[in-house]
Amino acid sequence: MSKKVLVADDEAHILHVVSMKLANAGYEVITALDGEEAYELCLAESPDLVITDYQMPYLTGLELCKRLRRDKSTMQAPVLMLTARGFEIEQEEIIAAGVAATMTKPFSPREVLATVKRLLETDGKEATKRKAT
Amino acid sequence: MASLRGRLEGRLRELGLTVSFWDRAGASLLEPTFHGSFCRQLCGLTQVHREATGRLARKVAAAERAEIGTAPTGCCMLGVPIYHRRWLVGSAVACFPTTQMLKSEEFRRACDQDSLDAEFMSGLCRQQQVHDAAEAPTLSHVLEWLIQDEQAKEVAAGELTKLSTSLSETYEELSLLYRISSSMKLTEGTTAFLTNLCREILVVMELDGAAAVLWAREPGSGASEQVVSAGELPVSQEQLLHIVNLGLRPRLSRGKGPVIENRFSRGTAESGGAAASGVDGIGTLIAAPLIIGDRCEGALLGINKTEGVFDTTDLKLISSIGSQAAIALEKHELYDDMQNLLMGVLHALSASIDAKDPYTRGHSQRVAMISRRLAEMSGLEPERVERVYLAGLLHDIGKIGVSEEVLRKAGKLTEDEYAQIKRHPRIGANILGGIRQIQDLLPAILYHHERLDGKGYPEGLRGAGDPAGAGDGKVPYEALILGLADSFDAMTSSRTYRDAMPLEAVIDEIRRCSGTQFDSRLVELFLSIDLASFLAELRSAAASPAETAVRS
Repeated sequence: MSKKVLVADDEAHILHVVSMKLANAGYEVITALDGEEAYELCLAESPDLVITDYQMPYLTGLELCKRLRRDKSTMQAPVLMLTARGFEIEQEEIIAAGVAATMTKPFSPREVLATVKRLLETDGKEATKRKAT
Repeated sequence: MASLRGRLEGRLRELGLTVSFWDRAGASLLEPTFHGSFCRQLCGLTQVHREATGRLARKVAAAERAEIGTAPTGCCMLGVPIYHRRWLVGSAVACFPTTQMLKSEEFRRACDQDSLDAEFMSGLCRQQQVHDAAEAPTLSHVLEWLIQDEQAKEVAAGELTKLSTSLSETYEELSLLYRISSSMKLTEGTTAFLTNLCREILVVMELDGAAAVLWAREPGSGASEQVVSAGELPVSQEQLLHIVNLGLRPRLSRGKGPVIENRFSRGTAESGGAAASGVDGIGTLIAAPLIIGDRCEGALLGINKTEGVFDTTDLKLISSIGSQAAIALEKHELYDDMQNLLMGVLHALSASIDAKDPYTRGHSQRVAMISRRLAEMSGLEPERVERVYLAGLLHDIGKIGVSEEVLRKAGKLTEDEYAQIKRHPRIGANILGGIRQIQDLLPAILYHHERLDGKGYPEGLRGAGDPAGAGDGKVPYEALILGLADSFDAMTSSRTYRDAMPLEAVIDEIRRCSGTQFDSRLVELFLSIDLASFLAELRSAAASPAETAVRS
């Protein structure tokens, strides 16, 4: 079964580029244009991974991530956060919010895909490990 | 058409329409999915009905507008054209039973022909949706709009995909160019830059190997051909250079645009000769010229695309990387030129001081070399070691402002003459103060005659500065290095007023002044050197013109 990825960004072009890259690689992609929509979709759809922009209306990527960590149905999904150059966020804040990885724009879509693969792989491995113990 | 029907199916069913699709020439593309068993029985099985819809489809295609007709069974037929963007691609023919038709002659005749019971068929018909014949024009419009909307959606979706694809490529390009331009550190040198570049394009373009070639400059300039690579090259760098020089170089130089060879080995085999044996393993190749100024001075090469062949996207990407890299290389070149010019001028300056007094010939050079050695032994970083060397070279530049009679005077100096000599560190610092690139050397030059005990000049600073930090009122570490080096060379050389001292006496003198004139840490380091052979090394190096060549 293909993994489900939620992509949230208020910039439609980034949303398209990222979702197309992921869809072509066989992922099921759902998209959201703001943080609030992303949060609601996460609760409804329980994606396996969330890609979110930092700067978004209503709810920042960081806030979104914190909320996802609090909910049982979404706490497992790793979050990849996209940040704009010049808006770098403190490393402590990123760790505290539970962000799995960050990428700075302009990012390479190929690298986004590679990171998604990596995050989902380690996620899967950890899950099996947890089961085994 | 199949996807169009797929997307329309649900709504057509709701409207009670049975629709078939036809190409421009009127050939059947998709048989209808019959709407209910009445239609399936009556129209699905009769050849006349099929022929009638085909005729209407051709009529629509020829007229390029919607047409309404009646089938031999009495059903109503709506033919509408289908466009993709502005081009007619075919037509759709919709069919529906009308309330009027069940009473018509045509219906009874069609039933009779196919041995169907008209009463039974009427019963079937009442079970499915039936329209009044008068609704035909409205339904025709609805069908036309539906198809137009779906087609427009499909066109938009296709354009969006194309847009996203090219946007994605642009993103890839942008992020690569950003990385390249931020990795352009001038101090790193061209080899490191090009190696880095090759590694990047290897990954982004999905290649087996990547290489950068810089041709040799005009003969006599000293530079030779340069090849750097990343990934796996199927041939040696020498072979690659040979191949590139043979076929690609003229093409790149002439056209000044990138080149794709997706059947490389075959191409060269045809041109025959020695090259063919060497190119085994290169299947696909892409090359972009590195144009510096208006000349092609090298090439960026992508070798063997991991999957498939090179296309226009790769071409666009390698061209923009190539032109970006060329800008960086030009910058490197200018930087090197500027650096060489500055160093040349500084060397000339220092040589002009030594020339003022034949007794001090080579003095600046030797002091610079001793200082460098001491700086290295103190564990300073390589860049700082080179700055110390440069400071050594320039330490006596202020003697330009001291009269030759005083400098060359054999006897004891008067107080006034000695005061003149004591001005040279400050004059030197003032002269060099105008050159922005060597501001960091000024403290070492200004204070190279200061002593730990405060008896030095020009300011009488006291105490030894730390190698790591600034002097803060103490003698800066670099100045201490220069001071020791200067004294050692002065004592081991002949002067107008005395002969050179024997080495043992010099060593004794240095040891005696440790902690008062010289920094004891430096004295300890210095005396650990085999000074006899070091002295011989200094004398031969300073005498040979090679050592005065630019070091950067």
